[in-house]
Amino acid sequence: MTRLVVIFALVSQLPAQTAGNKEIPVTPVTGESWISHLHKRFSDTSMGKTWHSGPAAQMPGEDSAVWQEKLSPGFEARSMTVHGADVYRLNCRGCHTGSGRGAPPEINSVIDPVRSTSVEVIMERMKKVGMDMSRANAAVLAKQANAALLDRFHKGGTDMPPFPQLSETEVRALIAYLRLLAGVPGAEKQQIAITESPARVGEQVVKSTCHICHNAVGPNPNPQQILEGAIPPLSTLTTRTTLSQFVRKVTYGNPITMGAPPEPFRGRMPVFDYLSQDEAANAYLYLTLYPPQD
Amino acid sequence: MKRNVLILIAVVVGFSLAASAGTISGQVSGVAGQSVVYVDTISGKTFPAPTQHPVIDQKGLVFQPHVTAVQAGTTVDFLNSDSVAHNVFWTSIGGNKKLAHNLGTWPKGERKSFKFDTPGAVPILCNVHPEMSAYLVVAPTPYFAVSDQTGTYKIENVPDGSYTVTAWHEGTKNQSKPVSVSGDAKADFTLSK
Repeated sequence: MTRLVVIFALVSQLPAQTAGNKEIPVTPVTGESWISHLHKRFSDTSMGKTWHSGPAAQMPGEDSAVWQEKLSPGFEARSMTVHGADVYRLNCRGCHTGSGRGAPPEINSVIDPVRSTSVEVIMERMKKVGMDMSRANAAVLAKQANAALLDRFHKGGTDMPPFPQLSETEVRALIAYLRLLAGVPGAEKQQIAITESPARVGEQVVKSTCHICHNAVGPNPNPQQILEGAIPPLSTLTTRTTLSQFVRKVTYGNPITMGAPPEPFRGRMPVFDYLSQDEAANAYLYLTLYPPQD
Repeated sequence: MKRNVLILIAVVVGFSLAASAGTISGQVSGVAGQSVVYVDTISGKTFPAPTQHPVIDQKGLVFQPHVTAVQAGTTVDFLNSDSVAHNVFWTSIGGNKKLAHNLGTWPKGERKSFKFDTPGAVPILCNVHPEMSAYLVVAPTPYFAVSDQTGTYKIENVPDGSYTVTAWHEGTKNQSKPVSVSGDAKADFTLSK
């Protein structure tokens, strides 16, 4: 609790909530989770899953002190330098995986739609199948593919949520990284860095990753309801857990109390071991500063 | 009396039609999967363009069907049933690169149409998904058939006469042969890659 007060004190001194990213302000997360929107059960989807589990619940008397909190001092007031690779990690990786190949057929690979935005890749592909194409014709195809990709980020699809929280600069950094991931020639030279406020980083983690499965608001489920599959809403997370417990749960895993009588279990939540402790702490900070709304 | 005459005429015409139309059937071998067999241009004969629009769908990141045949002058509808954007383009029709066309890139549920006036095979591709491909064979006459997966085909309602019949299969050279139709005719093809 003392810690929260300190965070509030520090954050109130920040010049702007959108430091380094003035195009789109930070706003609270709202509404139902994406899988609720799709009427999918957590057990029936690959969305928002890393397929890494946390540690099993300890046996009585077993030592649990393997995990160590390593937050950067003053993380809550420090801007972060973020590259396209980080934008991908914070927003896309939870579903599309580190390789970008997703989990077909439910989650499509990003590789081909990104490769199709490159004139060079199109020309090489057509040459390979013996249907040489002029640069001008390839450029038309590439331009259309690029528009379709941007449209995807802004409007989403049937199964993919839209990402209105991403600014133009963030999208530009993301596309540059996607091209690198997809092996587009020359992409390594196009990478750009942007500066983000801690709340902005937290917003991206929460809106793009946590909100896939957690509703913004709702009743706090009891251990029996959790055993039956209930997922606690984002609005309860900062009261259910301390900052330290939250960071551990997200980045390393922590047993959860389920059932009646309540007993510790490993729990179903995947471990987001590709997020740093500071980034997870930023998500907590964001949820505290911008309480989730209906 | 007048009615009887009409019936008589109808019967005679009906008989003569039945007698002058037959089928061309056979087997395309040497290749795996579907082929298209069609009657080539018949000099001095033109055919009205069909009004039906066959549909080539994009579903599950696959063009469906993989092989379609139409008569020249037919409008084909290209549908996108996937939740992702798809594109349709081709780089030639019947090997003529001047007929290359990019139909565009469009989202789920929408369709775009194109009227294919020039006979020949059209390799259809999606720029967004390079593993996707389909073939449209534009036949110069209404007498064509898509074979089953084993290569067996049957062209119905071919008027009696002498024709050049061509077999097409993806990735092979077309093969043509003369066929005389008087009732039911047979024509087998052996293609090689």
